[in-house]
Amino acid sequence: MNACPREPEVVDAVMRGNWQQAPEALRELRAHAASCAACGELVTLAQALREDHAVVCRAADVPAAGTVWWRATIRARAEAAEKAVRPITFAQGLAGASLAGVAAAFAGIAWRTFPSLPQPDPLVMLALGLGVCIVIAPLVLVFALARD
Amino acid sequence: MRDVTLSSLERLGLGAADAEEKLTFCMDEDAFRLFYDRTARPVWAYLARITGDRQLADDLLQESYYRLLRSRAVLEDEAHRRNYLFRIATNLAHDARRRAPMDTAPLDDGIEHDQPDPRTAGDATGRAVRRMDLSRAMRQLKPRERSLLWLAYAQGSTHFEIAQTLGLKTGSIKPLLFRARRRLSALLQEGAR
Ligand SMILES: [Zn+2]
Repeated sequence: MNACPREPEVVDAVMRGNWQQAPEALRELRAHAASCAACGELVTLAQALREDHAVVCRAADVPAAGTVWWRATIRARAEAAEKAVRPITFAQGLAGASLAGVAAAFAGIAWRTFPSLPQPDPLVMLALGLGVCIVIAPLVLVFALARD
Repeated sequence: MRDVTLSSLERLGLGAADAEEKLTFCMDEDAFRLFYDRTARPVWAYLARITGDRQLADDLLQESYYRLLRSRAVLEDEAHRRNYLFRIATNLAHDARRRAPMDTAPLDDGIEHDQPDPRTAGDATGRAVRRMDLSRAMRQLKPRERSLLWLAYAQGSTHFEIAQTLGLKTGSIKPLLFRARRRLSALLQEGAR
């Protein structure tokens, strides 16, 4: 079966809901649909879908506009609050990492005041300090976000 | 849908006025109410039919309007806004169905059928059976085919509107629609046998 050039006319008539009433003006189109496989099939499907649309729309139990607006407002505000919290959590992460860095530096200085203890290479100490910061920063972030 | 309160705002010391400043909706409340009252039922019907799930349609309806309100797209007139809303609804429904494909088995769509008038009870029963067959056949189509058919023949959208809603080229609608129609017709005939 091939598409028919008269399909738009047929769809238009069905959508207007006057296919069944068959006004005089549609007589010729109806006769065409009766003998054209594509248009005949189209009429059957379009009528069924149109009818279903009317029933489903009637059955729709949608919330009131005011309720949907109110929920959207609440949600938008909460999202705005969440956005405002985000820079704070990043700052908390940074502060945590800095604190860990300072603590590591002090520990290093304190270590050096005891010459009896084994004294590692300063480069190893630096790498160790950086490593601590890298581990601590995400941990602080995770805890800060979990609290929210 | 997330259930949220203002408590997190209050904890931050952000008052209602500050929060209001951060609320950027693409229309004001009066315009929204008018628009919603004109579109909510058709959007719900579309969502219910293409997802086959009333509950999901309820959730996606709220989500669709929220995304529309928050959108930064330039929506010049009501027709454009409406197409955009249906596009959001389509994407949400198709995403939901990708995560949880539609069950093709159940017959009852949960949508009540017309109360039969005793004088036309035969007609009403016939219509109910036709609707049930249609519902079952629709469920066996691909999501895009369902959308195409519903938009074209249930809603009477033009090819341009359908293209806008589904993110397709206007010229591709005619052959796609024809193929979807043929498939639906074949499924209905199969069901009748
Ligand atoms: Zn024809």
